[in-house]
Amino acid sequence: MLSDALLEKVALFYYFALLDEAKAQAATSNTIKSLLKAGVGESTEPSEADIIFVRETSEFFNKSRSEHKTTSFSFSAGHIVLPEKSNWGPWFEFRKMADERDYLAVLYEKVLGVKEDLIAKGLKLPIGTVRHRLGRGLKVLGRICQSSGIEAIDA
Amino acid sequence: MLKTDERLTRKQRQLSRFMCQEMLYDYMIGELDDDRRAAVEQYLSYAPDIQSELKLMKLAEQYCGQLAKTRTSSTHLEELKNVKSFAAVVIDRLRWVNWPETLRWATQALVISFLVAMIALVIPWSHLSFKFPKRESSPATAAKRGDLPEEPTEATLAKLPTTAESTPAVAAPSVAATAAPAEGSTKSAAKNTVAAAIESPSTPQKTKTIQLQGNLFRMMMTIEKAGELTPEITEKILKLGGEKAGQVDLGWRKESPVGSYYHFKMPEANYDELVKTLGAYGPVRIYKNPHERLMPPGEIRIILFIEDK
Repeated sequence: MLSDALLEKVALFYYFALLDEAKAQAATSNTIKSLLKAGVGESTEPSEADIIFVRETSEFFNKSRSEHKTTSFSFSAGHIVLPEKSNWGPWFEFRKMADERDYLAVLYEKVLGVKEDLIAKGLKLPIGTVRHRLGRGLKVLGRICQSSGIEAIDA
Repeated sequence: MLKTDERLTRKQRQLSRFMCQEMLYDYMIGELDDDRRAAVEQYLSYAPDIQSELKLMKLAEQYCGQLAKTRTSSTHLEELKNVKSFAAVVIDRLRWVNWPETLRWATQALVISFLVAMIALVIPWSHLSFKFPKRESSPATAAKRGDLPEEPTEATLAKLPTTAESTPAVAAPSVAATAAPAEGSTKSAAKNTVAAAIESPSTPQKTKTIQLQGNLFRMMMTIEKAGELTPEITEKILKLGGEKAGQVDLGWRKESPVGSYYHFKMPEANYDELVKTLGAYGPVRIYKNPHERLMPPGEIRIILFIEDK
């Protein structure tokens, strides 16, 4: 049995990555099976679970890359609870425009909250490479947000 | 020479535009050391385009922070909890309680029959001795076991038939012989095999195959004053070489039906003479019955019953 936090992370990854509810559910189910097969359970260390999560999801994403080219935005209500005043438009554009490696890095770190070092271990990359991808992805997403009229909130 | 407390002064690092852009993300998350952070800040002071890049990155980070608040619904989370690995699904399916009823019964029957077969194979039957009753038995063994009466007792004698009509019931497969037996008839006594119903105390009626090797002559007479004639007839039988064969004396008087009973053996050669002697007193009915007891060569066994008229 996986922890609730990990289950939610897997589900949200595919919702954000595929932007298609039906595909996301199928992929989530397969990945949960993979994680269980890899021996991940409630007793697994969160950091270890995050590494396996990044490895399994990125592998699945790369394998079925051609299948999930985003052309539309398909969500029905119920399975995910969106925050108030959320705007998925810039993210959808980001999905289409950004390099997939940069896109995944931003998704893992900034949306799902996986730490950089764990992403690096999961992707078997140096941490510098992960940061580089993050910087590049954020610049692209920032430009999209700016053009979409999203304003920065001054701290 | 420098003194030990003096520190080498290093010329402040001048970053290139490329290096500043590369380190912008690290600068934003605060992962740069002091020197590099100062260098980036210095560069940013006169590079407005890099400043706007930094603002864009911060804007994107804020946007991502908003999206990170997205949650899955509790119902969906419960659904995800029920997702099981293939191995778990297989194991779950293989659990005994999840088997179909018919398959469970069939498996139980198969296991039990297999166990019974294995036990039957393992048990050393050859080392165990069981005495099962045999279906066929010879007269000798039957006699040993007491299934067949060796000699007529008074109890059985009381049941003896006295009329010709009742005789077939006693000796159903008998061969009626009104004439004298041929020479050596006892030798040629057919080794007939007939099924005879024999009563035993344990089983009400058992069918046993008995080899009938010898012959028994049954003679029946009905005459007046049989009781008075008995000593005379007894004497004549003794003269012809008659010898008591049963348990009772020759001429034993039977109550019901009233008559004289003789069970004796005699030389076969005197058979004709005996028939003549008895014929003088009245008609004699003679039956030659196959019997399991084989007499010695030259001897015959006779049961004579003379009923009072």
